[in-house]
Amino acid sequence: MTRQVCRETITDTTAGITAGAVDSVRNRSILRTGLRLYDGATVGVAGCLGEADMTDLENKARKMLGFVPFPWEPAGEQVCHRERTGAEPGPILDEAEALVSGLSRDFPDILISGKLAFRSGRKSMSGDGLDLSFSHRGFELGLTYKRRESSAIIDGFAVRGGPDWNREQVLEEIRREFAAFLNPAAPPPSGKMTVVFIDSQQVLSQLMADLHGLRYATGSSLLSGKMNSRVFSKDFTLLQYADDFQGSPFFDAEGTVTPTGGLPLIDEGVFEKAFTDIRTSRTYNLPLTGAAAASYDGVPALGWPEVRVKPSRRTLEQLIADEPAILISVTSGGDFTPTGGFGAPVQLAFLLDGSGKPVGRLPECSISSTVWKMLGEDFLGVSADPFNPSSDQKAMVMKMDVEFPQG
Amino acid sequence: MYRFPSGVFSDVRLEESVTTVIAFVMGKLEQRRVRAEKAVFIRVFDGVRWYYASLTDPGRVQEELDNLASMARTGGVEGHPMLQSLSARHDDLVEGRPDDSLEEKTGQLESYFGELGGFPTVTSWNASHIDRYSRKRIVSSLGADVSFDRFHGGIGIGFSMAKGEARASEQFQKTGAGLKELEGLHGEFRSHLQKTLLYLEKAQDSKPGKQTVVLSPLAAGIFAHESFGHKSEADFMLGDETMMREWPMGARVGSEILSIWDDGTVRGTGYTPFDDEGTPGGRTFLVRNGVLSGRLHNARTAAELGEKPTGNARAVDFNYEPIPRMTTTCIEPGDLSREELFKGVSEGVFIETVKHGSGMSTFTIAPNLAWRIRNGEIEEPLKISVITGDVMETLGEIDGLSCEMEIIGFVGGGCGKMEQHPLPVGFGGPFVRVRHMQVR
Repeated sequence: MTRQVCRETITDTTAGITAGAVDSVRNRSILRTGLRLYDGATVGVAGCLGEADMTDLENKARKMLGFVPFPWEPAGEQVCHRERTGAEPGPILDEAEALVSGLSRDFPDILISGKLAFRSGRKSMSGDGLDLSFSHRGFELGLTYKRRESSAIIDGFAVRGGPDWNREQVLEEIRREFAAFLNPAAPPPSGKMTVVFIDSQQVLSQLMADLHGLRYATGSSLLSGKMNSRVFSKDFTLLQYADDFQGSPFFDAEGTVTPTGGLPLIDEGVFEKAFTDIRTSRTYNLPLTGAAAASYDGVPALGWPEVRVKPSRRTLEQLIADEPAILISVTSGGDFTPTGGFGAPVQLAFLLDGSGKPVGRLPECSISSTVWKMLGEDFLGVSADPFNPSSDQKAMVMKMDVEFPQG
Repeated sequence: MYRFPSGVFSDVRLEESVTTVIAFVMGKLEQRRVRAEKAVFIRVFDGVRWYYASLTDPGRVQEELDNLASMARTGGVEGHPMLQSLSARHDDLVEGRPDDSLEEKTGQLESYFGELGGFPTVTSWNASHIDRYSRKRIVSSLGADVSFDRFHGGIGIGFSMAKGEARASEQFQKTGAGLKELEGLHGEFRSHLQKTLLYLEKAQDSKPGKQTVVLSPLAAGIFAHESFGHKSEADFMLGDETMMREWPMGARVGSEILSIWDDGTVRGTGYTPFDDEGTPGGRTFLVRNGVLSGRLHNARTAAELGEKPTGNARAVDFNYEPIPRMTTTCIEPGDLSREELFKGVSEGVFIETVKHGSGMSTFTIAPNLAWRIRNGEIEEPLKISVITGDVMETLGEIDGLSCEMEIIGFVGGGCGKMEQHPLPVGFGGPFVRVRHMQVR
């Protein structure tokens, strides 16, 4: 019988901001414990909030054996402890009030709301030779903003996060964004142009669905049958990645360790691996990538791992290469068709200058392409330099069809 | 029960929940768990600022109440207008939960698997039964003591189909308060599989441009939720003079045939008999006959905007404070039969199922199953990335509502608002005909 104990602690303090005022503080300290038993044929799990009575937990886990099949070896012996922690920040109320007053003073025509959180935590897995832990400390900032005279409820979002809270750096970045936001810019002519994304989640969503191990193995994926083929640009390398400040540990929910630097799923455009957990890997004879996810009291199953597009050696300025370029800041809605076509409205976009700095707010527009073009012939690269240094957020650059309103 | 600190307002929300998850992938059991949790959320208000804490140890409530009060400035809450909006009721609306066993839930879910065998194009599928019972008690320094519970659950079967290079994925979901409400859906599931197969084999690229669109009750409910529901959450109005000026009660915001309401007393995924401040739920008309009629409040927004609380203060779970959220949001049905509604479309699009939607000044709906309408008849399936439009313009372009309506909920998912997701909500309405929507 293999026994694993999983623990997660989260401690955070969050300041709430409403219409330019810090109006709340929230404290939280949560401990979750899970215990798993593998009997060689099945797996049983039990969990609890708060301090655990381990004998009681083990009895509950034993009662859950015999139902969920797991005839494979769970993660083997390994010991590794890592941390990604920044310096201890100042008192959150002081920091939040300084942030808000700095922005409100410089931009009285912009209303700000949102949350600033200072968070620390630890995840661990132990048992039968397995001893893994990951500790993290950092900040998360999520602001919504709008012009006071706007009749929308939200015009834009400013999201930052990382291990090191640097108020002045964050202020500088948001001031740059707000200055551009208040400056209406004439759009370039509609057509194919250079488009920049900081948040690439939507752009990569179709690809992530197609890299799902079960979908790939069962023929449901657009990439089914294309392993080891070049399907995208040679400049496009997608890594399954860990060690993220948000507490995404270097080991998955089964204890499989992601290599430092990441694991290529797409390497220079060649489709190499679908992401898998132990069950998917063993059932369909695919390489194990360590993409299992689980709640504290659940059986690990194939999840959605953190990914990162490998940065190029070129800066954003070099990637833009003197062409008109727009930054997609808010694109809410839109999606891919079943065969990979993409269309989305853009609620907030910025015109970039030649160095890649936002200089003006563009009219609402729409973007369209296909997944094959976006990551293939039209893919230009990910910047080597961060667009937002406070959060190490890099810029992904590609060509897309952009349509601005007539007149 | 607790010694509430003087000079401040405070309340304690005790939450107990039992969540069941049974999940199969390709017919093999992957999850079988029953989670029982007990936790507490505490609030203190000093007249200027709120102080919150969440605990997993109910034995520490008094200690944390005192700790939060020590951070607050006392004396500032006396006579504060928000105190008039806060509940001081005594109520007990605890009904209990169904006693269906894990074995019965598993057996019922498994009874649907056979339908998939008739569709060799199904390449992968998953099925789950999820239900959640929660019981809350809210006690406050004003003397409120409100207890209530809610139960919602359902089955969801997601499947992908492939044929050559063509791909299609769909979900079949049904919610209900217990196994009896989830029985006998095999024919409906089979019909959904058949439609998806037709979509897989025959879907064509759509013609982009402005078209007449008919939304199914599912699509209409998501449209109402995304395009208008979030705008009605009154915390978006705080400190915003432009919103108050441009969204006054009585302003015309849509077609005369359009009415939209939110109601926490409607049974289903959005059932919220009391909100998380102890205010009773009820029906709030957001739009009545095309005119702005109401907003969704918690005690703070009601006080600041000079309106009555509406029972819409909701928190996703014990980790968070309650904020204005929707419960069950619906478009009121109209006079036309479904057939009459479709007959009014010579050329257009029918949106049957939706992947997701969103709403800012422009709303979006990403359709999944979509069909061409030609001379009132539903014809070939279409591939559409997104339909979009200006919210105000679109509400004014609604010119037909069916008398048939449906109220829907998602199994295991819900509404997201900033850090708080997923919140169980209900949504729905009739079939809705809208002229001049942008189709891409």
